[in-house]
Amino acid sequence: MLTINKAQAGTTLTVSLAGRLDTTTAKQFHSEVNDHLEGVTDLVLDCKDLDYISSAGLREFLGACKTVSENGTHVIKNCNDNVLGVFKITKLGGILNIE
Amino acid sequence: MDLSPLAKVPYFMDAFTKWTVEMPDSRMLVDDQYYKGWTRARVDRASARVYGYLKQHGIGREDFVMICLPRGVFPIIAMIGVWKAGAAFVAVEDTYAPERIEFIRNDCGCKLTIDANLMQKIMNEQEPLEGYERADDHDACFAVYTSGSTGRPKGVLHEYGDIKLDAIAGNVQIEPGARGALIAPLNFVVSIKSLTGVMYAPCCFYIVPLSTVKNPRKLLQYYIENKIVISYLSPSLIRAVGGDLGPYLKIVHTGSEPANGISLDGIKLVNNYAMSEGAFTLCQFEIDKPYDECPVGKPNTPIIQIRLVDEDGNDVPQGETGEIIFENPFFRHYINLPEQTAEALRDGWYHTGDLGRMLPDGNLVLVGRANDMIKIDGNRIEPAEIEAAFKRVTGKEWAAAKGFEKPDQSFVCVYYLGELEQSEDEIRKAMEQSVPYYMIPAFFMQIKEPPLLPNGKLARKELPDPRATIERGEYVAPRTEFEAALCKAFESALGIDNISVTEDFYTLGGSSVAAMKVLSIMNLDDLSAVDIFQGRTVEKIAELYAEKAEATASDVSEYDKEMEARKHPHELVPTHRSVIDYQLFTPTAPMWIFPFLFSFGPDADANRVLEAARMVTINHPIFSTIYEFNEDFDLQQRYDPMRRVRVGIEYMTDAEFEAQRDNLIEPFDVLGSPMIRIRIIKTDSNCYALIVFHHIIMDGMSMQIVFQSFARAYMGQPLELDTYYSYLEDEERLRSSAAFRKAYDYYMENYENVDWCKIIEPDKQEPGNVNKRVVIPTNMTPENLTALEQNCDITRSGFLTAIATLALAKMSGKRDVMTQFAFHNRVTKRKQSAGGFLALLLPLGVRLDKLTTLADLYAEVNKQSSEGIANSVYDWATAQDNPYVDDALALSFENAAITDMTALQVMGAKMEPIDPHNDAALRRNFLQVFETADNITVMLSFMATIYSDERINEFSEALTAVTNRMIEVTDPASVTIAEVLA
Repeated sequence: MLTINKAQAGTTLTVSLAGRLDTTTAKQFHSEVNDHLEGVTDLVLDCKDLDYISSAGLREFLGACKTVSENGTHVIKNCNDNVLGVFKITKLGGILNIE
Repeated sequence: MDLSPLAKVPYFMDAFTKWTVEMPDSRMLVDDQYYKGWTRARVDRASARVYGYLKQHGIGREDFVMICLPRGVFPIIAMIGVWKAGAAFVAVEDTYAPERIEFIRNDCGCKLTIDANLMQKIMNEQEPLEGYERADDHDACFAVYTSGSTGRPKGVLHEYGDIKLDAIAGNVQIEPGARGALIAPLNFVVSIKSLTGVMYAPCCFYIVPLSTVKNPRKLLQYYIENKIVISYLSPSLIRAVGGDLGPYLKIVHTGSEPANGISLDGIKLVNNYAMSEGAFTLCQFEIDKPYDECPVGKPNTPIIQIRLVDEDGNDVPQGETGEIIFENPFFRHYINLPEQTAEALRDGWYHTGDLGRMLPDGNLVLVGRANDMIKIDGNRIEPAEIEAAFKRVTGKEWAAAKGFEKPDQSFVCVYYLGELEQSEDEIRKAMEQSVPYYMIPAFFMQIKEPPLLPNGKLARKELPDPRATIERGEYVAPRTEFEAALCKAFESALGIDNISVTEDFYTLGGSSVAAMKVLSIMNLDDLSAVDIFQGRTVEKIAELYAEKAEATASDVSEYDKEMEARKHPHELVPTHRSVIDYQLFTPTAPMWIFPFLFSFGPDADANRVLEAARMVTINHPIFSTIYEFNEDFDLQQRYDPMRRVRVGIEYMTDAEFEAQRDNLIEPFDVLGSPMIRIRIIKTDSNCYALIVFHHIIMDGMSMQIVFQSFARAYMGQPLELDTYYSYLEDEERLRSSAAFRKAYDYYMENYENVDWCKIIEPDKQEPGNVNKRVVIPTNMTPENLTALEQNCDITRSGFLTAIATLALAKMSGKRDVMTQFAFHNRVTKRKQSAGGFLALLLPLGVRLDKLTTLADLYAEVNKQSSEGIANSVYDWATAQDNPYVDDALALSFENAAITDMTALQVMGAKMEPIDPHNDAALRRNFLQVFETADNITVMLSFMATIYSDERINEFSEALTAVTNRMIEVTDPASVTIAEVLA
């Protein structure tokens, strides 16, 4: 299960995630976040309550961050140790901006 | 003969040593198994082992060694080893009839035979012996066997001086590093000459697989793919391959049959005249245009003298025809044939039996034979040998063989008196036991009486052409496109119209050359000369081809397919993605990492272990496979040899190793690097190999493949092609196939929309992932399981599914129960040789209310097991699986074979305990049964953060109860499921 809360201030979009971003919820993320990035220049993915991200979730993150990064910035923050561990072993820390 | 110039020719072993020292890493030999090649240093070391073995066994000067090994680098290694010992060899093809091999062995008086078993032993156990014996020019060097006029093969004994003579006479200019192709059988003189050539010059020889040699199109492809610069090709092959030989070939040597009517644009084509009795090139002629009568040229050195003589041995006048004779002081004799030797070798001059004529420019032209000897596709055939074989098989007292030689159609006919008791096919099959394939007659013809000369001898020339009397049977037209194309190809190759699909290719005069023409016209990768030989008629060949189209392709095309598949990235199969997702749940935990530590003992040669490890990393693409996101953010796997795992020897003291021993395993990055490692660690008192891999890229079967490769590489044996990327490509193709759709529909129909009980219901929810294991006691033994299999028609694995299903049903009260069973998925040859993660978990959902007895349950399990395997192309189980949330109870029945380490024990290696430090669960529930020779252990692994001990005990008791009840049942139809669940 995944809960997505979005808060937009100007062209900055903050997306707070809670639960699991996996195969069953990736589509939800895509439709609620990736499909709504037009005009967003700064994307903040707040992962404070994100328990787990799978490869499907990483794909969505990569897609979202790339879309925004063409004309703006992104940051992924407040990751727990497990989610940070995922970025480490997938070497995506070099591509994604993780705080 | 003035042999003084030979003094300036370096001893061939000196030249070989020089190049080995100066260029140790340059490639010297390549075959279809060792496609990366053997370096000079490696060839030197391996042949030094052979030398060491021979020396230990007192084999040296004037001793003969038989070499009977499959085509490839190893016969060459053996030859060099024998020469290092200063001894002599006779090489035979391991496909020769046993009778022929035995005859040759005894005729030569071989002291030893190096076959595959002995070669393995030598490579595994024998220490290399440096250096070599320096042979005298007149010491025995090798023997080659040709067709004999006594009815048996005839051995020609050559001395070491022939090698030096050929170095001058051959005039083969090879640039350092040049790539040459070896296409003749390795026991032919031309191959032995090629070997000495590659010892004198730092070039590389590619030993072309015989199946490729027999297919002109494949041969051409081989030349292009391997950038072959120099090769020998017979005139027949040149005609069959056609004029365009690709962009790399620069020099082609030809000969052994008339080179009339051929030339090659842009390639130096050299006609050679040589024979078994002169293991050096007698004459050469550079073919600058097609000739109606192509000269064989003149000697390259004044040492070699050729004369043309009449029947009395007198030189014929210029321009007239005479028998060609030459001197060869290093052709000692025909083995055990003093009369034949005396007949052929007179006053030091060898009488070839070839008739020739000298042109005004000094070039020699061949005009025919003085005796009955025939040449078919360049192979010498004495009619007597064929006659003898025919008589042995048929019991006939009289028979005559005659050869018919035309540029594109050569064959043998055997003539006999009276009736035959066997069919022609039976006779041919029986003759194959004693003579090579090219001596098998295409025709058998009954005659009333033999034609005779006035002196009473057989007038062989008057034996009739069998083709004039061919009875063309009833014409049956081709029925398919393939048959029509093949009929046309036959007609073109044989020069005969309206060939019926039922007419025999060889009866119509077909030969191996004509077969090659057919292959060239048909232009099909997987149609071979063997199909034509076995099928013989268009109808039968079409059948064989259709059957083969469904079967696995040959090793050679497997190689091509695999190499091609490695050039592209591939999708992940669902199970790979799934294991990645499981790992990401607990990213730093090593639960999916499997380490193996082997010790080789204090005397182990660490370099040898290292070399073996390197070969393994080269041979298996998982050592160079990277998982990554592509530009579309899809996961893919890609073969990147630049990122191949590197192996070196790490030196440390015993104390340092012990200090690290507990922490040898490091986590893998799942993306960006290969997920397998090999470390070689040399301490004061031991040598270790640590192999660690992630389950994403390996399963149990692949582990065995890699370990076996390690052992084979260590013993110097060829490694098998790893077909992992071919497998990935097949999987991609299958996903858009009708079979995939059918499998999808099967699962939708049988498993969707059912509320399955598929797990021990969790009873708590704590954070984290902690693994625990319990052993569940049962009365299962290997013996009662075997009895159960026999009495109840259920496999061990099926029984595990049945007991797990009933245990879950007993616990939960539910009647729709699903488990997943491990399936190795190695159902084709290609999958069996794929080193990767191929295993699957297949679902098995039982609706117990639809069944009554245990027999019904077992039948349902069997049915779904088979259907699951049949529909495994769609991985429904993985599609449903959500790591640690919706994963079903996985089952695995493992026997000793999975953990069989005998492959490494032959290396003298011992498995050492190593703590994987794994305390994270692979899945929520995993039930494994381990069987050894004496024992059955049932173990449940589970995620302890979601199960209390009580809940696990409940399952354990349920499983024990149902198992112990069911294992004793001998008549499952008499026991109801309800009774078991009560």
